[in-house]
Amino acid sequence: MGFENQVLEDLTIPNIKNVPFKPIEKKYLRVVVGNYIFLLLLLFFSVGLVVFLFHVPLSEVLFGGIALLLFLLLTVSFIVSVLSFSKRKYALRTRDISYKKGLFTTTLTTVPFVRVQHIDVKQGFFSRKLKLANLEVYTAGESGGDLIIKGLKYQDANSMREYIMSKIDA
Amino acid sequence: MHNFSIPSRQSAKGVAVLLFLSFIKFIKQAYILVIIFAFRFISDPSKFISSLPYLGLAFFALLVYLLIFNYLKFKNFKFHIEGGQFILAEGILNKKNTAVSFDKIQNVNMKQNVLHQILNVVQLDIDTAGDKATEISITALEKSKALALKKILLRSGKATQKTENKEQPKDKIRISTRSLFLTGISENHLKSFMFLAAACMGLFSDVEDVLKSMGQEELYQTIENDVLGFNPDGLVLLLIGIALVLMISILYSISSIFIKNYGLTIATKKNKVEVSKGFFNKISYSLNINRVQSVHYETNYLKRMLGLYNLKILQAMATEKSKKNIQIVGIQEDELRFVEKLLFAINPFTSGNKEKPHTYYRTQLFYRAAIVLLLVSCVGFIGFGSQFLLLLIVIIPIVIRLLFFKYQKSYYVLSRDFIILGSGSISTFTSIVESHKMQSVTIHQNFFQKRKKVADLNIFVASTKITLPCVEYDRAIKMYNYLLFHVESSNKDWI
Repeated sequence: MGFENQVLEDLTIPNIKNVPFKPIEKKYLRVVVGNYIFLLLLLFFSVGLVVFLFHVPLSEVLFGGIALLLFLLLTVSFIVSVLSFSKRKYALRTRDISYKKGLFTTTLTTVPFVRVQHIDVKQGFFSRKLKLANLEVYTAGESGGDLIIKGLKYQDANSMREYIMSKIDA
Repeated sequence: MHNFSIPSRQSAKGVAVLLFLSFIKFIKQAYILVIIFAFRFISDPSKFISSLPYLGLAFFALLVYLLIFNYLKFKNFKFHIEGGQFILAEGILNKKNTAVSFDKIQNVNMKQNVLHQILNVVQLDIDTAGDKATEISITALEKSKALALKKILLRSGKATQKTENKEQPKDKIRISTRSLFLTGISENHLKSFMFLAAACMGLFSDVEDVLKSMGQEELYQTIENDVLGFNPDGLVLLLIGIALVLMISILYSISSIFIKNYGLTIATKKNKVEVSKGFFNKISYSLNINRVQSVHYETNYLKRMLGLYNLKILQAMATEKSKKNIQIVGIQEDELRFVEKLLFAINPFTSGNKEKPHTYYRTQLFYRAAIVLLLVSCVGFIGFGSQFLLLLIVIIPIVIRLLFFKYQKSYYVLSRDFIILGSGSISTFTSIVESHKMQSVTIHQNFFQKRKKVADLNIFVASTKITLPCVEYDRAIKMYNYLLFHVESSNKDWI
């Protein structure tokens, strides 16, 4: 059995580059902001609690440093996720589902329906208020290969789930 | 002969095995207690002897407790087969019912420790393809019953029992004692050295505690000063100590490989591979060829000269414990080809050409190593002062050499049926996956890779993740398309 490179060159194989990707809901940006504010408040509250209860001054190098580091980490990741927001896109084909994300570091993931183990539709606190949901597609592979699309319309996520399930059963 | 439709218990001898196992477990956890008693005895025998009755009483109480506990455990452990399911009821106070359907069962392993062998019973472990929680272990069964149960559990719809009875093992590989011995010698001893050194360090601090509790602090001080202080005698002592630990770790490697793998045989039977091994603890492992997810083998400079490899066969969601069980050490090259042929029907390497990652991979490795070295030297400089930086003179050339090796050894093959990845720096690793067993695929590109038009291709299978590093972007996309096409168009199942 020789190496069949010509098969790879075959133009009849569907090309992922030609697939139109759809952006996720714009409304989801509000969830990103909401989560950031929530985490920020949590950080401030817990720092305040430590200062108030244990009388650790914020000027203490280690404590202040850790607090500052957490604040910076939160803020940087927030800024990056806002900047890269428009890069979060998904595509549904008849036999697989794909998702891509990332501005500086990009990742494109595709899960064929024949390898799907189970699908979850999840909603967080903010998502529920905005009628948004996450679609989580799991395979039997290592966890890095699972596909999670955040910020879909709740109805869309459910109908996508139904669609994939019908494809699996067929 | 054996009726599995009514709930039955383990072999009555099982109580003894259970008792033995929980006693061993107790000793393992309480070894420090034993050491302390030993020291007591040495320091003040008469006082120790006078306290012996109490000690004996405590020991007796423990034994009675363990006996009652394990008897109840035995009484409350019942299993049977009903409607294509294996059903287990267990638990003394908290009852637990587990049901596993036959088609979920991945493999059934039999184990025998020394006591098992004396009592002529076996331990039967049932591995499922599902989550870790549904792993079943029957501690002691009569051998004939265990074999009968195993046969029922592994019987798939197609296979008929009669033909299976007639089928004799066709081919057999037996790893010779010589190969095992050579494998032990050529193992990477760094790991066992570290382990042993850490154990010594731990023991050292235990000794400190014990000596202090005995009021022998002076003795400890002299030991500490001699060994850890930098006087010439101490340095010699330290060097001797390191040499000793190194020697012990080599001996340890040899003996542990020997004990674990004595009589290692690989036999084939229809579409199953049976692996059995063990000196004190005999383990027999049978795996379904279709369920193999990935095959990995490893060799190093010494081993290659001796023509030896270590082979690992992984299945879906294998737990850490069972992952270790399908390790075959000391296999020779022609035997390796034989196993490959058994699992894949052809030699995977003949299916396609080797390709190398883009040279940017080497650059990336260098940058990453440089960053790590910079961080380490910063921390070292703060911690140990400028002397630490002298170490870099030794470390940097070694790291550079290893990086060159890593790039040299890195290659991949992607053909219609197989994905093969070569990697490693000190050791040489080879991973083989059948293309249609892919679960999902990702293309990952960082900022620098984007500028060089290369990308990492990650292929996820049920046992591992295969990363082809720094593939040219266009080629990576083609591979991506092709792999998806292959998985989606073929009707081959992954398990």
